[in-house]
Amino acid sequence: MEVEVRGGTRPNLVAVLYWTTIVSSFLVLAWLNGRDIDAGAGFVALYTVLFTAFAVLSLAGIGGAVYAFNPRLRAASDYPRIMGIVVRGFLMMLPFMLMALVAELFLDWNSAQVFTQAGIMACGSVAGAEVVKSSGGKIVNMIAPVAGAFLFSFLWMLLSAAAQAAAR
Amino acid sequence: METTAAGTRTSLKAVMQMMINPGGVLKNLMRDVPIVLCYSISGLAFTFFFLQTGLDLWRAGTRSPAGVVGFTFIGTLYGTAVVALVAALAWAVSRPLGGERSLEWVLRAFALSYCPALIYALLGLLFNIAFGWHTSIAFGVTGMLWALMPLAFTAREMLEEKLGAAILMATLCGGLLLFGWALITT
Repeated sequence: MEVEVRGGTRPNLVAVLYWTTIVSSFLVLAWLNGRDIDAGAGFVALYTVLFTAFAVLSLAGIGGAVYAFNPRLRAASDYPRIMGIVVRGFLMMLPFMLMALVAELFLDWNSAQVFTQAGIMACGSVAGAEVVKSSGGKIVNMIAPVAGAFLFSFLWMLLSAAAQAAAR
Repeated sequence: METTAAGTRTSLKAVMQMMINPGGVLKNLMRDVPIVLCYSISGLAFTFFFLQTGLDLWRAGTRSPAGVVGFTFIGTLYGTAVVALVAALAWAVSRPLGGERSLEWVLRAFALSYCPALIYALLGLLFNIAFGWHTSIAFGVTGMLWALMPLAFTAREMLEEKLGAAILMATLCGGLLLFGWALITT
């Protein structure tokens, strides 16, 4: 994968670092979400793995939506580069994960899902702004990442409710 | 008169856009938004947030009506003085990291970042009063989390697009304000 950076592209270590940060953030959030359901260690482990995989697939889907609905960007870049733009936006998941950790482990809030969903939506907006910046400032190009993030966040909630029902 | 009307339009545009495209507002419109408007937004956001927290605790039987009023005043103070203090601290930290934005710009941008939080706090308060729901976490905290997005854009502008440092600064400032609320209200 290549990540768009100021002054050119850097295929590389930066991309690995970005992906590691995002996957770790979703891994921790999925663990916290699973923990809140309180259905045993095996359930939490399975939930963590499945929801982290779901997050990675959703990111790829958002990248695909940007690629499909943004002809200007598609003409100038390929899918990996567009994915790099989306990934930059989703780095914002890190603060949500850190705050969810503090809230769950130190304040006993049981609200990992609130942090996860707000984080996904906020990341969608940041990714949207990145896409707008990379495609000539047209605000309409924000729609694909923001709508994609909305769907991702909604499905997370739906699947989580289904997992909770299955655990009982 | 025309200038005043144009100024009001620009301010409203900035407030609305801060929720969708904070980067554009911070780059182009920030200096036209009066500081009083910025702190009215953050002040009201925290006032409503603390008020609904007080109402939740009052319904749970752990606070008296006087306690609810007290929480509301603390919220106003928190949304103005504490937000300004955190902004000033962030500005001080940004200087050695290459930040060139003025203190006044940072003070305005931090307060205006709480536009989304104001919408959530207002909706939460409506549901709290109309239906008796406990809304401080579902609406209040969600609003505070939403403010992280414009805060991160602000930090990025302050730190000359240094993404990692900006995310760290947004986490620390947003976290400080959110968990400060948790400490005060427990």
